Amino acid sequence: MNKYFSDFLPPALVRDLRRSLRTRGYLAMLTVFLLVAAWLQFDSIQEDPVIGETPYPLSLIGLLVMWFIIPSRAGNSVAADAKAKGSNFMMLTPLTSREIVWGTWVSAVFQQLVVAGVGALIVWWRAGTLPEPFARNLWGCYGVLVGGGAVMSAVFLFMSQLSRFMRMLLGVSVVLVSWQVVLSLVEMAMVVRDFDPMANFLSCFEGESLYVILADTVLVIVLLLEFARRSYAAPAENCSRSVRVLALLVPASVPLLYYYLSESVGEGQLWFAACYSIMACMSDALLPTYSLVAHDKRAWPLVPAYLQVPGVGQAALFLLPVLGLLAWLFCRYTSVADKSLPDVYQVLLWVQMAYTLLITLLVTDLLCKRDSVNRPVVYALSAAPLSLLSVTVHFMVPASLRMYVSAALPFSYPMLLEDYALSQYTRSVPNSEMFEVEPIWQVVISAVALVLTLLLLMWRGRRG
Amino acid sequence: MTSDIMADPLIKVTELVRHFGAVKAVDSISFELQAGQSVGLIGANGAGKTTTMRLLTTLDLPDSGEIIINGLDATAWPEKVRGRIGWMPDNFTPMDHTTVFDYIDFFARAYGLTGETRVIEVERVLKFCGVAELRHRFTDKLSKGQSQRVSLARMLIGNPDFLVMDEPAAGLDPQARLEFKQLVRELQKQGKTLLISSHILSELAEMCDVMILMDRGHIIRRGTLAQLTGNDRQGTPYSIRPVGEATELLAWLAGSRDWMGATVQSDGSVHATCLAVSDKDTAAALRDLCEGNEVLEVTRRIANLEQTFVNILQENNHE
Repeated sequence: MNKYFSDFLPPALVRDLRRSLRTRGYLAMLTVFLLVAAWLQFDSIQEDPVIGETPYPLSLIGLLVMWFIIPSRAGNSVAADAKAKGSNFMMLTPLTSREIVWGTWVSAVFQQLVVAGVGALIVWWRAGTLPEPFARNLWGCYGVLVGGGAVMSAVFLFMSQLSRFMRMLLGVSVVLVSWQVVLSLVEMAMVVRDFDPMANFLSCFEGESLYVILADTVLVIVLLLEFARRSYAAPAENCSRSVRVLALLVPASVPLLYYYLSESVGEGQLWFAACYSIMACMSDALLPTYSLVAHDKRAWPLVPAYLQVPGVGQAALFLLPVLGLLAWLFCRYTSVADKSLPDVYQVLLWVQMAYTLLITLLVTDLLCKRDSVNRPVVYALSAAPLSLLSVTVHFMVPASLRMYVSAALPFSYPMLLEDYALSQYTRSVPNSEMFEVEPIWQVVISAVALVLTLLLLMWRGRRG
Repeated sequence: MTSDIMADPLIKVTELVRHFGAVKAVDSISFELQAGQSVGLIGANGAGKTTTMRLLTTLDLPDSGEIIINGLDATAWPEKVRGRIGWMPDNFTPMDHTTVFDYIDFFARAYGLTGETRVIEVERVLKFCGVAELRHRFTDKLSKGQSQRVSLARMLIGNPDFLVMDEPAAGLDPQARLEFKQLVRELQKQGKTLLISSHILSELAEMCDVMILMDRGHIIRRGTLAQLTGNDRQGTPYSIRPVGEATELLAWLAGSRDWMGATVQSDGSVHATCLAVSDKDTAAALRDLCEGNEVLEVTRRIANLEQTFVNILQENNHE
């Protein structure tokens, strides 16, 4: 076996590749699933090009294989190491926790590429028979499956220290929510193209948009894997430092991007940087604190040692410069006179975001003990089941109450924005049923929910 | 024979403390290990042995105290000392879908061994530990004895100087324990410094030069086996069974220059210490005893290790 693996490959990657190659039957099964899905997809297109182009067979089966089965095995591998305390032996080696986690991730991505590669042959063969927009959309869908699979592998590694039940629960929620987001983007593209089924939906994501999306995907994966390396981190290893560097560097790079990107893409990047940095800082704050022996050579000379170690206080202090930087960036780059969103809706969005951040903290507090290493994971990922809950409730209540109930639910801002967009759309279309929304009452309801959540958190904090 | 100038110890532990909440797992312990020494760590369950070992192997951080390994502060620079430490816990953790060869090869790669050097090192440890013929077997399909050997092979990758073994013979059958002891003796001949914890005191006595007894996070006794059991005192203790009453025997022993400390036991035997040093003098003293008295049985007394351990613990509890 030494003949097959060069010494330049990371040891963790060699280990995981050997393990995965020993499960050839499993890989073959996944490939068959994908081939069946691709075949069904082409048959549905040929039967009815208008309906069939919606890639449901490929997306559902591909989703299961690429976004759930393969990534969950990667997460289970790390979880098994942690449970059996095998990670202890790796701590004694010169291998860093980063090398181990990245090696496991690359192995998972390799498996996805093997499975996707075989399926791609079929897609390529049959795509030649399709008219252009369908073929491009199908390849785009395939690319999203593969790229999203890489992100999901990082997510499952991020969740590796949770129990199997929690991993599955959060994993399913994340996969469903992520795919729903992707489909929503496709639907938005259809709206932009005036519901033209012949349009190339993915043209919205070409050129600079594609590069930006790829870069953002890489940043998300890096952040997830930085948190995931806690499973293999030695006692004196500071896992907060790199997260805080990312939290500062990402927004700090936005001004540079504005020189090269269009305004809309640049503003989108600003929002991405804000969500990224705030999520990184909030998750960092939830990392358990342990005593570190700070050595001079490992500290950044210009930053006090106190600010470099994990801890709630230290993370909160680090959040201040991040928020300051974000505030300056927003003032500098978004002060446009002709804002498309009215002020009251902007207030609603800010209140909703604060409410979402706090209620996720409350859920984390209910599910995890204060000293649990899993708090950042539960905090970051409980967004998914909460948003699923919100969406479900949103569509169950009568239409007349929907916009007000949504305001009381966390993670409702996409639906609230959708309500606003629909109201504007119906306003512009003659003889349509008007869709009325009272944003001020939505603001009040969200603000009350925010205050109640804050009071509950303070009460739980006092209880200890 | 004690040298006036002692070499710097390989391992020096000073006032080591580790608490888990209100539980004081390790409470201000200090000790030293010289290079090439084999030290046994004895203690009841919960005494702090495993915690001490985890602190020494940098798998945990102490709350306070210092650990110096080969001149390096292990608490400040754990990554620098880890390469010189081998650790073998009390249970083997297999990797799924991984053969013995892949398992050892992974750790060889993890230690930075490359190319032919890695291949040679993997073969060396597999052969040394007697698991070369198991190379294609999956690690989760090994017997207890086989998995302990593989665990030993993993520990030896990279040729560390300081080996820490937590109950290495636990759960092994007699044959496997014997073979394991032979491997440990080989490691001692190679000059490795060993720290071994075990509940099987007789085996520790065979393998170790020095013993450290721990109880409730403290070191309560340390020394050689002879020092701990009292067998280092002047003279050799014997048990003598006379014919009939022991009165005459006691009188004879009291008048003899070769014997001292004669006492009658509850079973009628007499315990006394022979002061003869050389084998010739001892033989002469025993001959005189047998010729001068009617004696059924003369047996050399060796202190029972387990009883010694229990006695020491009881003494510590009373204090």
